[in-house]
Formats: sequence, structure tokens, C-alpha cells
Amino acid sequence: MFFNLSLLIFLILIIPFSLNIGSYKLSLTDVWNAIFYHSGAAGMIVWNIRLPRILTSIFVGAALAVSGAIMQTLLKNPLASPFTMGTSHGAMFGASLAILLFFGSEESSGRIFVNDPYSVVIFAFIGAIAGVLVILTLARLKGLSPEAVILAGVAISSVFTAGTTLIHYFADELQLASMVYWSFGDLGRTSWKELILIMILFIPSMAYFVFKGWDLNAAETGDNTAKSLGIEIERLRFTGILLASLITAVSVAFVGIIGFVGLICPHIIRLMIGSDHRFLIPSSAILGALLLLGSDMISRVIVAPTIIPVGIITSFIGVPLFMYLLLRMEARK
Amino acid sequence: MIEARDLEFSYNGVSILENVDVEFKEGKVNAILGPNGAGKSTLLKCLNGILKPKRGCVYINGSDIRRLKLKDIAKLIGYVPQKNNPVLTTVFDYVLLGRKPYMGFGVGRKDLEIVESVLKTLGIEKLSLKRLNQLSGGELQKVILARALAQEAKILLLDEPTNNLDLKSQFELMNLTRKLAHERNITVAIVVHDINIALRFADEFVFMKDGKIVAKGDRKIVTSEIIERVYDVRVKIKEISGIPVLIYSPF
Repeated sequence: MFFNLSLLIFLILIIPFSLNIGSYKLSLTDVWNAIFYHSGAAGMIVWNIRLPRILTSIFVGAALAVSGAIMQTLLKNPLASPFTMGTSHGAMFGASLAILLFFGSEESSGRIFVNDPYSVVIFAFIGAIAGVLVILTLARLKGLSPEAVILAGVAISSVFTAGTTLIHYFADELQLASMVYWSFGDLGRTSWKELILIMILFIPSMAYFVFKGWDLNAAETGDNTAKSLGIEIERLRFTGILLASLITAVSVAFVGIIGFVGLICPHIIRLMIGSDHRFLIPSSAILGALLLLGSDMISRVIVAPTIIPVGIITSFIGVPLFMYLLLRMEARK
Repeated sequence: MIEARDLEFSYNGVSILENVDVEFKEGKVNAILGPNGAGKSTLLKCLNGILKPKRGCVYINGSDIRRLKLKDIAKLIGYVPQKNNPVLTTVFDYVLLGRKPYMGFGVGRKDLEIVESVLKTLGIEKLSLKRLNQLSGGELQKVILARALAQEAKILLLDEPTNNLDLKSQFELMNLTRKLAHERNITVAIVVHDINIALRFADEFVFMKDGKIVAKGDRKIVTSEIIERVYDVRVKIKEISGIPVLIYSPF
């Protein structure tokens, strides 16, 4: 509990600093005035650009980390992540298809823009969720084991990758560039509207996971034990994976693929406080938010005014942190 | 009392249980014996609703378990499976899971008290803040038994709980089981491989082979003929200090 609270306080403290950095120089007082008095250009920048970006980092980071934790528990595999069910490859395929069909992009000031972002978002979302629905339907009808579900996810991912490669083959250079650019992951693509959509899916899912904390603890002890404790494990697995995939899919559709957060955050928390899901789920969410927000801040300042794709930074800070914890914990055994 | 009537179970078309009629009595340690693949574990899983039998039915004190939800069964039957996943929680939190059938989101004072008293009963209260991965095999089995006891069920199904334990731990665990059955009037159905352990600690015996019940009854049914029929090995049974002991004697 104490651990959760301190993580949360740290997250809240970091937000003003995050609002304050960027190409347009603002002091902390400017940020304060901008937030509470909407004053001038600073008000516009903070309210329309930085605040949505920051909240996107927070909610997407939290969504990815929580769905990673859920996937790892329900699929009984430490390598499971939000993308185990083929979500990222499906999204990539969908986005590439949309770019190919409804091209186009144009080059101006060295950056590539997709003209019709909504078709890309919708196609990416459909791609992201399609594989999940196929696998979950099969699992429901044929009673697939968690191991089989993971293998099915790998298989679906390969199909999507092949499809994406095919699309790349037929795309022209500008389309190809936009497809690659899309896949980098960019937290600046969302405005309030998209953010609200992410929140509408995330908040109830999060509440469900926290409420089911005990059931998830029981699930971790094995299917037979969970059933003997009165838990309808198949139903829990189905609903849990569906919700986790849904919040991942909506995040990926709006901001692109951000790897690593979902895989590593739950493990860091497990190493630090153990795997009681009543604490693991909220802590993972906060750590995911913190990692993505921190990475985004670094990505905005490291070679400003260029913004480095945030996924690169999450791996560069997250991996050393994770390795350090892993080695320390292994040594303690 | 828990009883199975005309139970039939098959998996992918292969029959695992056939016409199983068996009852486990209150206040007794009922040993389930038989070679690997005889259907012992499957029988336990059918008894507590983890597996749904193809035919036949299980009754707890006369009522059909098909009418009960898993959660209600969990209040009547505690179960210790053969395989247990290692989890990164403390002993106390793990045993607290046994209160799951009674809990909503929050943990009540009563739940905590029950966990404490179960830990004390099994003499493992000192372990309560240790993590599961820091325990020895014998300690871990006791903790898993504690989780099942925390369910406060009148029936306990134990699937090879003495596997991989040293001699002292085996005896400790069996003594505890026997005490629970006799003092708290709990029905214990336990799968064991060591027939001598069963002869020493169990009251009733059920022999299974190829998904069928071969024999059931008290200690008197454990004869060298039955052992040969069930396990296909030749043994002699001698009494030492009033307790039958089985000796391998192929010649």
C-alpha cells in the first residue's frame, strides 16, 4: 500500500515538469497560469498539446502495463505481454492497409503526415482486435490451453507480419515511409477526443481487474486450485484477455506500437512487492504511466526540437532498470 | 459423506473412469490406491466438480453437486492438487486464498482469525511472513494443506500430498491428516502411493485399476492377492506391532 502511494505521488509530482518542457519554453509559473487561467499562447499549448500528450502517456502506459500483468497471469507465462495475442502485428497490418488504400501522405518540413488519420486508426484497431477475437473464439469452442493460446498468438502474428510485408512490397516510397513512421509509436497523435475514448475503455477495465484481484491470485496458483476455490477460471481467462486486448488495441490504434512497457513493468513490480494482484495491478499501472511519461519527457528534450520515438527510450531506460532488479533479486535467492 | 454413483469420465474418447461407485465416510481417512493412470486423480477432480463426468453423479450428504455452483462446492470441499504452481506471495496471503469462497473484495476479521488458527493447528505460524519460494518441500505441502483447511470444508481431497517428502515430513503430514479426520470429523480422501503409509494411517481403502474400483473396505481387504491383482507385483503382508506391513517378495 505504502509502495503504491509513493509511486503515485511521484507520478503526480512529475506532471508539472513534464508540462513545462518542450520546444516552446515555459516556466513552472507559466504552466500554473496556463492551467488555471488559460492565459494566452501558453494556455493553448498546455491545454491543447501538452496536457493531452501527458495524459495519453499516463493512460497508455498504464493500459499496456496492466494488460501485460493480466496476460502473464492468465496465460501463465512470464514472457506474455499485451502483444502476445498478435495485437501489435495486427495493428501494424491494419494501419499499413489503410495507408495503402486511402493514401496519402505528403512530405513537408521533413515530417510525414497521414492525410486521413481516422481510417488508419480504425483499421489499426480492427487489425489489433481481429486476431484476439479469432483466438478467443477458438479457445472458447475448443477449450484451448493457455500454452495453445500463446502459440496461436504467435501464429496469428506471423500471418499479420506476412500481410504487412506484402503491403510494403506494393506501397510506394512515401506510403512505405508513413507505414514505418506509424509503427514507431507517437504520443502526440491524440487530442482530447481520442484520450477520452482511451479512458472510457481503460477505467472500467482497470476497475474490473482490481475487483478481481483475489480471483487473479487464485488463478496464479493453477487452474485446478482456482476451480477448487470456486473460481470459474475459463470465464475469468476469457474476460480478462478480452479486456486486456481491448485496452491495448485502442492504445496501439491511436499512438502506434510501444513495446516493452507491458512486458517489463509487471515484472519489476513482482520483483519488488510480490504478486498479490490487489497491489500488483495498480502498481503496474502507475509504473507503466511513470515509465512512459518519463520516457516521453526524455524523448522530447534529448535532441530537441526533434522528438525521438518514445519506444526507443522506454527500452533504453527500462532494460537497465529491469536487469539491475533481476540480478539483485537472483543474488538474494 | 461424499459419494460417487455410476461415475463415467472420458477424455478425447479414451475412457478414464468406468462405473465408479464409491463413498467416503465422515471422520475417516480414506486412502485411494492404485497404479499410475488408474484414474485416481480424475476421480478426485470429478468429486469436487473440477471435471464434469460424462455420466453418473456425485452427492455430498445426499445432495447432487450438479445443482451447486463452484463457489458453493468450495465451501464444502477443500482440495490439494498434485501440482502446485509456485507463486510469489507470503505464506499468510497464500493461506488466505482459502477464504476466497467466503470473501468479496475485502478481507474480514474472521478470515484473518481463521487463517491464524489454521497456521497454528499445523504448527507453521512462524512461517507466515516467509515467501513460498523460501520453504522446504515439507513446509510447502503443509502450507498448501493449510490453504485447503482455511476453506473450513468438511471434506478434504488430497492428491498425493506426501510425494517428494522426506520420511519425517511424510509422517508429520499423515499424522496431521489423521488427527483432522478423527478430531474434527472431516472426510479425508487421499491418494497415496506408499501402501505402508496408507496401512499405517488410513482407516478405509479403495483400490483402483484401469478406471474401475477393484476393492474397497477397511484394512482387512489389503491382502497380497489384491496387491498382485492391482499392481501386478508379488508381496507378503506381515504384522508388526499390530500393524500390517507390506514386503516385496517376488520369489
